[in-house]
Amino acid sequence: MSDLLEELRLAARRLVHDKSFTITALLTLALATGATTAVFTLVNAVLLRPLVYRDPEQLIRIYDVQPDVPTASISVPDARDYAAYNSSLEGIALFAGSEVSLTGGTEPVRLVGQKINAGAFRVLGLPPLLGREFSPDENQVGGPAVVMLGEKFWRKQFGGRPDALASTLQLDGKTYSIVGVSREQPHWGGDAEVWLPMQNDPAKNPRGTHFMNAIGRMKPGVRLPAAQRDLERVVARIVETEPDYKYHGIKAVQWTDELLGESRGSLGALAAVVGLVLLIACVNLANLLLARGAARRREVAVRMALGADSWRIGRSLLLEALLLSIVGTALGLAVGWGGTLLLRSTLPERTQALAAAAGLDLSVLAFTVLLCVVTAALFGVLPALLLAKGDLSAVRGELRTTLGRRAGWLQSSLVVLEVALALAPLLGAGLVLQSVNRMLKEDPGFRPEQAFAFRVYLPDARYPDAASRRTFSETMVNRLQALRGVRFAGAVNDLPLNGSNTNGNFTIEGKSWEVGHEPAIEFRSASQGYIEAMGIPLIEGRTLEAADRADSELVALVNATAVKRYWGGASPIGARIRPGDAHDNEPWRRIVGVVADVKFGSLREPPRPEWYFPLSQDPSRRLTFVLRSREPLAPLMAAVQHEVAAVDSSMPIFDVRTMDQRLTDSVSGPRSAALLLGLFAALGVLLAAAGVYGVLAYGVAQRTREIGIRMAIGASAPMVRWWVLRRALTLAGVGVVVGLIGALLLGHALERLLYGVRPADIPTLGGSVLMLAVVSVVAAVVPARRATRVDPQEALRAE
Amino acid sequence: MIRLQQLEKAVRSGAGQLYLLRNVNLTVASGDFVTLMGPSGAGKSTLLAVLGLLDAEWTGEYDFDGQAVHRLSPKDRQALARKHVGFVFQKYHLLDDLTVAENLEVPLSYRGFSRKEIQARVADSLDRFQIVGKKDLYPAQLSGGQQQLVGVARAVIGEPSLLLADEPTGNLHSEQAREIMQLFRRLNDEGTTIVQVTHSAENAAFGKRTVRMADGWLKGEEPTR
Repeated sequence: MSDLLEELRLAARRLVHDKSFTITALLTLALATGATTAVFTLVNAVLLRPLVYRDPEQLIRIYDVQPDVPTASISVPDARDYAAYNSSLEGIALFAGSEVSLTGGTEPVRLVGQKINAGAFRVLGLPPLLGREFSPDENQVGGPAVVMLGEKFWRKQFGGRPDALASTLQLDGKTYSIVGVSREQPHWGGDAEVWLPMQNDPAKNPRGTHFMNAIGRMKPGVRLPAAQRDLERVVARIVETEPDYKYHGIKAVQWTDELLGESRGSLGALAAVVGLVLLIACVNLANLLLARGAARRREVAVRMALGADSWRIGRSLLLEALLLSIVGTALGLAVGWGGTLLLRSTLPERTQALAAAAGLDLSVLAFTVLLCVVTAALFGVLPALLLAKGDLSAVRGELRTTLGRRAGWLQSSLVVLEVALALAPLLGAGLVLQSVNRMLKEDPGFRPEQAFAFRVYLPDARYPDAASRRTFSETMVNRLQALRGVRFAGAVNDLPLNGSNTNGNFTIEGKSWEVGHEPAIEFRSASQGYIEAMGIPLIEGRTLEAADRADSELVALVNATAVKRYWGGASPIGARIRPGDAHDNEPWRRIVGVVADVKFGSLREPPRPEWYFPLSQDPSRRLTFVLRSREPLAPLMAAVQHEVAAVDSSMPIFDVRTMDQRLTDSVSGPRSAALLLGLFAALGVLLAAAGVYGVLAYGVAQRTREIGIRMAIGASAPMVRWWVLRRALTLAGVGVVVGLIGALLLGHALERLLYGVRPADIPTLGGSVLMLAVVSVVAAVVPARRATRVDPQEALRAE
Repeated sequence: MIRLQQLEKAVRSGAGQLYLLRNVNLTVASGDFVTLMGPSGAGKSTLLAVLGLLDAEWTGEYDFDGQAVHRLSPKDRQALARKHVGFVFQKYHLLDDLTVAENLEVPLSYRGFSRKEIQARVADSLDRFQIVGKKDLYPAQLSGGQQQLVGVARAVIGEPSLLLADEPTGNLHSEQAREIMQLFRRLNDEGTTIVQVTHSAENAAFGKRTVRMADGWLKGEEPTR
């Protein structure tokens, strides 16, 4: 043991003496293990850490399936029948988003709410932190006004005090008794600040009104295929009593798969890229140690002559590698901590909640320790094996400091490997960057400049009917339109690139469709001024006007895609449409205008058929106001709160952002991925360049005599320079060829992140190869210059 | 102590073989002080490496202290060398990162001595070679003569029965060379068997007999004192 400690002490001292080597090695290790730890922390939090629910593998997400909608939410009658007729589930948790305002204070505050059914938390296997969840009688229509708090909101609002259970909360002007506090969990309505009981009136919620999300817990021993078959039987049973229901299906998916699916691709690709960078770092360190080993060859030979055996020599070299690795990994942990914070902010919103819980837990620590040992083994063993063989000729006669032809070949192979490994991240970053550029070049269909939007939500308590909602939106639009500098102001239920959406089937007068294959369209309700405020071009007819009132003729606009798909490109002006199927008795609406398409879901999705109903004829609780100004936006953005308060002092506004900002935010996911991949690719290229430089510099130093002879017999400086550069290009060239396969594989793994660019995009591939070649040549410049400065006389005299 | 019979060493050279040692028959008695002399390329250093068990790629017979080296496994040869052989090199080959005292500790640590015993032996050795004042200096801070003094101290600290020296004074000026050779004579008088390689007749005179070599062959020997 004391031997080992002594060797450790000496190894530490050797590393301190060899400052330039140690600093290079530690920086390489810290960056590589830091990046790896940061990415693993997130992969662990998002993909690997078990969900917080009891037996999460038993939880399934249940969707209604319709001919044009593969994953629809479910209706109140659906939920009732699923619960009554299934035999595979312990229970079904239902939830639906609900926005509420906390009132009673000086300023109303918008809260994120979720409505849930009785026993939902029991189904999830997540007992309340405090108090209880809702009982069946609290879920009845007209049931008591009760609320559960989310843990974070409880801590913020009540300082985490248990006596919160004896308190009440004012929501939308109504008093609610607090009955419980839910545990913090990132997945299921994770951002909910308050939970309210679902008090659905079956009379007002027919089969066609889909708004609830359902999660079922399978009984012990039941697996997904059995549950799927059971639920299909339930649907068949509904069809027996309601034949029209035969176009509905049902789909059960493992909930964990659904939660993780979104991030699995990008995080997986990121993990692969970081793994490659770590590998490049290890290869680089192995090369550094090999070069250093050449300088230590005499020491090793002397030690062997003094009695050391191969094991002792190998052990001391490995200890040195391990010591480097421990210190490097410790520094890497610090880098990793910073990196985790940076990476977390770049994840998609839903995944961010998962990652927010990511800290340095035992598994991350264990991973880092493992990383430390593995990297030490990877970069330490090879040089140790070579050196421990100990060529004792080093202590006899003239000392040669090279490691021989085999080690030289090994060094070159390692550099080739580094270049090969660096190509994949480079190509990946290039592809994703190209995608982001293509997305941003896409025409969103509206003009984002000089416009901004903010949102409000009209609570039931104060806006119980269409008339009150209509009055609010009309008053607001008029007030906003009157603000100084405002060119156009308007309101809409769902803004493009904002996440929320409403759609359904519709009927065209005089056209018939096969039952179950009725046309589907996106529903928008917009006020006068909205089309103009958004800058959506009018193609034909007119836009929405103040004259489109509740009591005037019901009208609608459609977009170009709807015209192309459902009218074959012919003018639909004057045609009549209505929501629902042929047998629904919704009133007809006359089409008065055609507007251009907008990108709604995201910039990468093709436009879908859309209609716009006047907001006055189809009032919505969910409102987004859009203002287009001819003056700077900042003062206007500050003024709108005052305008809203003037109409309703209890109405909070939220999500105030310019349209430019919304457009940029909509590509934040791929852009972050491009940024991260770019960072890691740059790190990989830098490390590979360091490898090329190291091998060439070492080669020049070792072949000073050869260079001297070449120059003595007539080689010019350019010839010597080319001799070195050619070696760099050869190493890079072979590396690129070897790396192509890996690069193409990574390109395919990234396919989900790509837009408008193929995984094997030739220009991007060419650019990546060119960049590696240029970097390799740049890395060769200094050794090449050094080679040309060899004085033949000096070089030959030294021998 | 040492008996070599028909020992030969060859290396591959192009299509054929190049003999470095040819039909070497040599006996070295315990307490002997043998000098190997000959022109460059005669095979002196090669023979020294074979004697020191640093080189195992040869044919013939080699008995060391009654043990047939040619039948020993590499591990046993290494153990034998560790126990019995000390080396002094022309270029000293001190370990640059270690102080004088630490350089002396190295062979003892390989021989499994306890920490306490290592410290005691190093203290004795520093005393014996009168280098106590230099114990914390690094090799680069010493003159060539002082470095070789440490090299000799390091070679004998494990009390080897055979001391091998390859041109031990090759890098020293004459006064330092004489001091080192006197030290060798003293060690030999105290019972250490020594085999040295040298080009210097003056240094050879410190030994008991001189063996002449040329082209890998032993060409004869003569007593020197």
